[in-house]
Amino acid sequence: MWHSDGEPGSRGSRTRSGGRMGPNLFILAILLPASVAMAFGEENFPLTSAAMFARDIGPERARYTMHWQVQSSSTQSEVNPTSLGLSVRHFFVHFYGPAEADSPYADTPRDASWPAFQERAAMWFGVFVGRYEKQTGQHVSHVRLIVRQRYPASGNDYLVGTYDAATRVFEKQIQP
Amino acid sequence: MIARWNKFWFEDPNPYNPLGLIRVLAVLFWGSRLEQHLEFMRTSADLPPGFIAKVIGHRIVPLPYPLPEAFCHPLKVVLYIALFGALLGLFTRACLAITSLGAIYLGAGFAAANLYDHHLLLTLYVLAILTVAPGTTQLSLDALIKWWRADNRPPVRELASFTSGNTWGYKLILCVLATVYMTAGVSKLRYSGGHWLNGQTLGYYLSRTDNEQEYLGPRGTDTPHIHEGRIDLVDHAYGWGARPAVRPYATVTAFMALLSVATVALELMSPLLLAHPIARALYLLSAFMMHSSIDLSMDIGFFHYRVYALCLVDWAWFAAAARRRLNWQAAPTTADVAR
Repeated sequence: MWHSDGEPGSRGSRTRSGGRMGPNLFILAILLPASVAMAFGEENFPLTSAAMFARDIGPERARYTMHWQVQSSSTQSEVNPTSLGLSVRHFFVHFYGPAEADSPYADTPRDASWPAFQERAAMWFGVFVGRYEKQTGQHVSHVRLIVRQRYPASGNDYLVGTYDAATRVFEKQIQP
Repeated sequence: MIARWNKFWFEDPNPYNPLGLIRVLAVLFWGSRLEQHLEFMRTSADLPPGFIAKVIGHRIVPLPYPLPEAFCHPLKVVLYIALFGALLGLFTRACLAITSLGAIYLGAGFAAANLYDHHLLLTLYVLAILTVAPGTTQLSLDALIKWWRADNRPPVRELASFTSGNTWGYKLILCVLATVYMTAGVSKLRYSGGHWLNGQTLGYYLSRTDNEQEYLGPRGTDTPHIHEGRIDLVDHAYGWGARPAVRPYATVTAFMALLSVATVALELMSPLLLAHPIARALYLLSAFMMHSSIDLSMDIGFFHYRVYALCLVDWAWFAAAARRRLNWQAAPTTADVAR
């Protein structure tokens, strides 16, 4: 039997004894981390806990959408960050922060306090404003972050805060 | 224990090894996404340090992400040369190593922005396995050159053979695939506590009419809970509009529950991939049908997974079984001999 790799025809003869050490280590290096990610729920590329689709969604769980309202020198408009090459999931996971201690996503913010969020939001909105101004040529004065309840009571808006492009500060609006 | 381990990985009586074909497909799959990942890195060049988080992939390939603009083009040239080398099978393993590292590096940057490319994930593992596993250089220019130089040339059709003396690479791909499916099943139970099985979640996905990103509050709360100045949200939903033809079925609760249970059961039964070739084939064809039905209903194709599923069926075992059966039928019976 022809073997392009130089593998001998008799099965396993090359890897019998010490020659199996390399393949064994490689097999373990591939399978062990993947198994740990499954066991402990880690979404950290190239490991995955496959959190996508895994959350149950039903009548007992409220659902929301996020909206970014840009106040420029002349107009007010709603802008989707994806149109600026920014991922809204990235904003949610790394800047807004999931309200769950054991979130599967890698490197979620550990400090859920308002000042820590304010600092993260200032960084994110700085990029948002920079890209918007570069793309449109318009000067931005403020950006409002709105969380809108979509289910069960559709249409309730909650203004989380406003980013002031001049001072580069994200100010709290919502009250508990 | 160790003897069983060695027997499983290194002493297989069915030496089906389609890694040469899988190499060609995996390289094509990665190639179809390479430009998108390069473009994402190029457009990320204006981001401040710390904006994109570090993930494990960045530790495996410890280059800064994104690369400075001046290095983007040279990286692109290197990755495309490696891609074509791996595709044609010229300096196959070196090209596969570069391709794998490139996929980890670019995929990590993409995933760090929470654009986790689950299509790429399986291909990434496949490319890494192909870099070192026996059988990869079947269907390659390397093999052709080696065949040309050999003193006793075997028939040229041996170059396209799907057999190899050592099949641990093929089995490792099966193990990775089993882990991927098992993880999906375990996660549905972990994050939903069994609620996923009641069919409401599947009904939600099949009733979506738009692709707007939704965020989920904690289970059991239909009114917003405000904490530290913002509404508590636990996760983002996977938002993708379902095809109009399937939306009426989304409200048939019993049907949705049946499909949900079948999906989770299929995912949790993934160790069947390591069982007898018939069980493996049935599992792979079931997975193929599951992905096809998701494609038809929700327009989420997972095309790569479907192609891998077809490649991983042990066709050599079925061909041998068919040959045995035909030979048995063609063989003279005792009655024929007596006559």
